Amino acid sequence: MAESAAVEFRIDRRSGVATYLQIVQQTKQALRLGVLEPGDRLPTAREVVEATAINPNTVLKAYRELEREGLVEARRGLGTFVRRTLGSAAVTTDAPLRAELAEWTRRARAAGLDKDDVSALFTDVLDSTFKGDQH
Amino acid sequence: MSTLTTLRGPARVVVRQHRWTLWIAGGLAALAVLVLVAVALRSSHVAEVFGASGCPVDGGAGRDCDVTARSYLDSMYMYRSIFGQGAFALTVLPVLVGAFVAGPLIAREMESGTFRTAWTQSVSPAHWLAAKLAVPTVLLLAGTAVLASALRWAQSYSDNPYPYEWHAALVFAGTGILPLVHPLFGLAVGALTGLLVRRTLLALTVSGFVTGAVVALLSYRRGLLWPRDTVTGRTLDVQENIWWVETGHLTSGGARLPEDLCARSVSSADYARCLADHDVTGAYLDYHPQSHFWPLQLVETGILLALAALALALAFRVLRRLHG
Amino acid sequence: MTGAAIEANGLGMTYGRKRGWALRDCSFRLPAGRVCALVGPNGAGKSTLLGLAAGLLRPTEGSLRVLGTGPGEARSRIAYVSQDKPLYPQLTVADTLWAGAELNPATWDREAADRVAGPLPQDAKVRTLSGGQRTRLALALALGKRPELMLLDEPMADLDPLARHQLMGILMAEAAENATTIVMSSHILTELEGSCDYLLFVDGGRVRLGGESDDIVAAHALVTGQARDLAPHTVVESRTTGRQLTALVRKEGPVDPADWDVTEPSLEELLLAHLRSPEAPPLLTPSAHAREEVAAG
Repeated sequence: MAESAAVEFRIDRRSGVATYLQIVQQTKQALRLGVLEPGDRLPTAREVVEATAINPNTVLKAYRELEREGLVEARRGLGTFVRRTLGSAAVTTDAPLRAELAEWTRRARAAGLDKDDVSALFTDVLDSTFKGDQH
Repeated sequence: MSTLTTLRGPARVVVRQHRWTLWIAGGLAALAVLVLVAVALRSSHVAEVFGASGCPVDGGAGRDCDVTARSYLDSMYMYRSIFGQGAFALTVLPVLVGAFVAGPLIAREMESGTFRTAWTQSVSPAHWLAAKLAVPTVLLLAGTAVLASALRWAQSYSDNPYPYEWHAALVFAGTGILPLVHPLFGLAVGALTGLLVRRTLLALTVSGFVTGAVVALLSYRRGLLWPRDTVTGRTLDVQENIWWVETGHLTSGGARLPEDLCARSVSSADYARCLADHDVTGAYLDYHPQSHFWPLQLVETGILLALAALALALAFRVLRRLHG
Repeated sequence: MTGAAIEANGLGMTYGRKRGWALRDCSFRLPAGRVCALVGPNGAGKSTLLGLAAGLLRPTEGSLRVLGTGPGEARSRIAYVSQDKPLYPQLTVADTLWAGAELNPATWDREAADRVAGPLPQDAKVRTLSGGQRTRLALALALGKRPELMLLDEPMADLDPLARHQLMGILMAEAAENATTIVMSSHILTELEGSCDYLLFVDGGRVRLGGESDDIVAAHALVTGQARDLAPHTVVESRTTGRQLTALVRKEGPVDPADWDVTEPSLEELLLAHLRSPEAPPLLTPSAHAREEVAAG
């Protein structure tokens, strides 16, 4: 118990994304980036709600979802632990895909796009590419 | 859990809440006792000095002695009035108690809403009220017992040539057991008023007024609380130390006529004619001998305790009716 | 199935014949362990409902069970913080917490109280505290009691955003750790939305919506399309602009996506629509239905 949790969730109430989904997504993001590794403990519901003031059941719902996807497991009395990583080689810091994206972002900036423009463009492309296979 | 343990927490909170009032009240009581003791000692010293001077109280032993006697009597009269004021303070105490209990103790909680906090701890409204009243009850009983004893002791110790008569309105409620009973009555009236009025200043005023009115009424009508003894005759042959409640003229048929019936007569002949015209053959006197002291005290006690019990029962009922 | 934290049957309350009903015909059930937002416009009856549940008021009609018993009997298991946070002005912060321990000898948890009251100046008199500090102290008193049910009337009204977030976090941690049932009232839904999983929407002295927030939202749909009959769905509110109809409906079965553009309303849109349409029928999800037999018991 003494060991502190490996991640912290940031909840954006205005994002329009359901709170439990934000936790699911941020956990997955941390798994992809290697911030969370197998064996790491997710923060307890108490820790999450104390920091974020969201409802405990929301946290539990998110953890259930992650558990259903086989990413984490709840060990009674101990906490919720990461079972496997989502990390693919593509996402580590020096991976080529990341470098390509970084390069593209630099070009977008040079072309006069600000952060919001880039983000909107990226989201748009993301949405059209992955259209239909949302979970 | 016994009621006593249940009340301990809330009672301690009541003490903490009102500790300044309690300190001040305690300080005043201690001061009063000190004053009484000092006056008693001083007064007995003055009496001793006067006794040693050998001068008679009623004069006729030369100018110097007259001055000494006058100064002695002046002092004694002043001490008497201090004792009288002490007794009077005991008489008005219930009014202050009633006002305090109704206003700062209870209505203020209602007015400021703190009762909501108090009643949602693990203490029911009834226990809360009980604790609120238990604290002043215990302290008042102890305090007035001490004050009344100090007063009695001081009066008997000071050897005053002008003692109050046992029935004097000023001191009657400050002697016997009444000094214990009157404040309890004020407390009960205060509890009920505080719960009903729920505004600090208004409750304080109403409760003080009601308690004051009852205490005044009792002291005004006290003579009627116990059957009086009566003497009649051409002239009245009366004992020492009795309380003259009512006196007047008596006709041959036994009818009572007011004492001031012939007060407007200009001469004694006129006066005699006036009495004869009204068929006055004698006089009557309704009175209480000193043996009526305790019956009078007990009847008044009974009345006040009954009223207090009624007010308390109503107070708890109001609490239950409104707040479950 | 867990027990009910609060269960009301035909509950009604009036403060005097001339003043009308503050609450009328309220029947609902709040399952234990929920964090419930009690929302509604000012004067809707929220405070009355909380006062009744706290055992401060006696209902004029109907019955109310709290934690399986009468509100008076449940007193030591309930914490209540009223809207204006009344505390004894002449006591200090430390005195107030001491009084909490004296008045709740069986349950008092000093650590729980100190967690909230910690940042307050312990020797300051309550009368010198700011509104936010008083709220903090009132919540410390409530949490120190280790209640099974917390009834909080507009708890966050006096707080700055930082303190609001922090105290809400402490309340949520309490709910997470001890499964404490929490009822918080507000006339501002957004204050509570993320923290609550249950909703009681009171309006005009009646409960108009009750149940899990998600289920209540899911029971409704925001539809846009060509103006035509929306049967069999219950229309809560509708607006026609030219040929286009926009409506908030309570779904009776699926809404045909071929005819309508369907989106899920936000909780706030839902409440606003109900506020604008006082005649819309009430909705209680199954878990919010009062069980009749309890009323007899």
